[in-house]
Amino acid sequence: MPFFDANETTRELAARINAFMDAHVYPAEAQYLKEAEELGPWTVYPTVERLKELAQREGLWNLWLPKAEHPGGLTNLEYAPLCEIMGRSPLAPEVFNCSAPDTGNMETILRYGTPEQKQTWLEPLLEGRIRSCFAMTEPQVASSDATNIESSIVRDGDSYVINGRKWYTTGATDPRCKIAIFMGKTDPENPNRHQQQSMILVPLETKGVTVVRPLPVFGFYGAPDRAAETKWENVRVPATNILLGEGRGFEIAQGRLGPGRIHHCMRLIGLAERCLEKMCRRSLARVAFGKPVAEQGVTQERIAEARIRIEQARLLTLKAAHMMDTVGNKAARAEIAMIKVAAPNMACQVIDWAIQAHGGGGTSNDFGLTMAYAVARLLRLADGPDEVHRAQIARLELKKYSA
Amino acid sequence: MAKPGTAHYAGPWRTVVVRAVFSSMDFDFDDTAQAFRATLRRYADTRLRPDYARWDRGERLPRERVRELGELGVLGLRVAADYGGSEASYVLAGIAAEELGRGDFNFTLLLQLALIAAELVGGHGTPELRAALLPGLASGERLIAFGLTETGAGSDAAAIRTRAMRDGETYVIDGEKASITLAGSADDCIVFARIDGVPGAQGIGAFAVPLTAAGVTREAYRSVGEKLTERGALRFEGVRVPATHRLGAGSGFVQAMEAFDYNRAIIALACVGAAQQSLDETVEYTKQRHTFGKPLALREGVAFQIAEHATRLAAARHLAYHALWLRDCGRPHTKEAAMAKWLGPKSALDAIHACLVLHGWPGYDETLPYAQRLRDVLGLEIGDGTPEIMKGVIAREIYGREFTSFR
Repeated sequence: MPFFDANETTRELAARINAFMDAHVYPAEAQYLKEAEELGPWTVYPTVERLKELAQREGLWNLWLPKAEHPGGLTNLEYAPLCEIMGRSPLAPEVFNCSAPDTGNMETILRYGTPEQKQTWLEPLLEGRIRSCFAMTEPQVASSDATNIESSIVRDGDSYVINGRKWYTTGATDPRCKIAIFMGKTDPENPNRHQQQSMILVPLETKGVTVVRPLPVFGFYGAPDRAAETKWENVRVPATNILLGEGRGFEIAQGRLGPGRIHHCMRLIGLAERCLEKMCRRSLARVAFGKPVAEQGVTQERIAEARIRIEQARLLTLKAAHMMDTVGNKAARAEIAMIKVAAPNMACQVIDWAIQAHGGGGTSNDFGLTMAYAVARLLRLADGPDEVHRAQIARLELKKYSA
Repeated sequence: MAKPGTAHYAGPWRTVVVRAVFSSMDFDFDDTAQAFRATLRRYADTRLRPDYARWDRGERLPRERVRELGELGVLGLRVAADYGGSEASYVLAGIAAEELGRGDFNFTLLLQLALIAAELVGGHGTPELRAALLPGLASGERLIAFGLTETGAGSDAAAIRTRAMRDGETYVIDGEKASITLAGSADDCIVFARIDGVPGAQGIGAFAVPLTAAGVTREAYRSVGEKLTERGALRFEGVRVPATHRLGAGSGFVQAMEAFDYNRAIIALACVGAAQQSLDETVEYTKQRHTFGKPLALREGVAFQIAEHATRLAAARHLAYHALWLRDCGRPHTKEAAMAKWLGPKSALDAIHACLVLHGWPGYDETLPYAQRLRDVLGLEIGDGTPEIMKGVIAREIYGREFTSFR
């Protein structure tokens, strides 16, 4: 088993990221949350911009770049422990230019974009000057089954004309968000349901694009995510904006969601670690019924169980990362699906126990636990709900025994 | 990479197998290294120096001269034996630089570029690329330029603006490289570029670009020296190269460039060679030339100048060979190479200047080589890092990175 020990590249980067987190990120969390609350989802938070500059200067930047696409990048297994550290704080991923949905979008443009598209969109994204969003989920259909997605992308001469309504277009309210990867149907009549969809680059400043409203996640606007609803009315973009070609949207989605999912899981593991740490510190510091909460049997039971589940989820995630590196995303699809179920559920349970250990305060915004819970709970739905992943795991399992 | 210390080279005069053995504080070259030195000395005396002035007057590089260097084994010193090279020691490369420098300074630049291209392509190239480029490089059929410098970026490699964007199985390169040695005559250029817009050192990679590709234009500079090597600008507009032509990328690749620190010692020895030749000629001249009834050599004002310059050149020479010896041993040599890189050209320029003046008006005439040598050596006081950069490197090595204004 090669993945118990991180290699030297990862160890060196992890030490530098941890030092940066201690010196700059954790101390800025309170200020960041204050800005998010006061300034809302339509603005840029100065704390993040300040720390981005520091991280870039330290060379702790774009660490998500995959070795397969960029020889200077890291393998999934090398990146996993780093992504976990970033997941410990709600602002860290963006500070290191490693946040969703931008990493998935950047990877998509890196892999499928033309040189001109890379220069126009990828360069500023990699430099952290602009942000991006991914417009897939639609309010009127069950988008877990992506073949349901019904927005239209219609060829008209040298352009495509786009119409539709999307939500959970995360990041769209950010004023720096300049580019969307939009999924819709170019060929609704195609008998192969997986060839009906295409993906296309749409600059957000194009006429007909409206960011309708920010969507709260359990009441949180702006931080850590900026979920949004968007409207696309007769949006006209050059035909060259299509990615990879008409009817190849599913193909791109397959390639894109593998790394995206594993990044989410790595961050959730870091988040669960952070919440377990808070739970331990809190239960050591508080006395109830004559002894510290940490000495109560039920607390110890939960702490032990949290540790077990975190370790289990981490090992499975590292295994999935290792398989993605060695046998490819497709052959690793069962493992990717497994961690996408395991990590958010594990995190939800660990955070729930941490909230319990904090008493009523755990449900306030003072300890970061409610926001952590909102993130973990949303990720039982985002990038495919538990049910879809479990169904896929079951299908792959049953296939072993069917003739 | 091959064991340092073993080299094969084939020359028209003799074929030898060079096995340099390093022992503690042995300042002598072994027999085979001395044989290599003697071969190159004879080539410099009989073939290079007689034509040195020709290239200063606009004649272009005859390719058979490059092939001759190939036959002498000079261009394949760092090429693997499988591709027709000799995988020789760095000390041997230093000997080549010094001896070529005595004959014609221009040819030391061909040596340097061959060393760099051999190691970049050999160390970071795909198998196809190695097979395509290295045999021709070693034989002298192919000249490969080194395209890092831009008008806005020289010593600070991470600031380059040339872009390479992947498009399917090719990369599209756009940008302009400045002050490129051999811009006028190279067949290929190793072009450093920012890949797919990835910022910072992480995004820097290099490509072997055939200069016959569509979209490449060349512009010659009017350099005051080193005219044979036709320094100039190379422009790349939508130039497509196969993905197999890429050499590395990422912060590791930029660090890998530190493996080329030794080239600074090679430059120092090229300069020392040109200066030592000037000094040897001036020693002879000052024995013959009489003023007020006795040879110039008997005047201490003259002889002491010779003594001082000989001392400085010896110091620079030893520093440079020490750096190369450290490189051969696989030991750190950044500081020593940087010391050689400023002291070598500086000592050489001072010595050649003195030689020119000691010759009086004839020294100032183009029939004698001193002004040309001054102009030529001056170019490599700049190339591969100015004295200011070198002193910054040395200071960094002494004080440590926390007391350094650059990384």
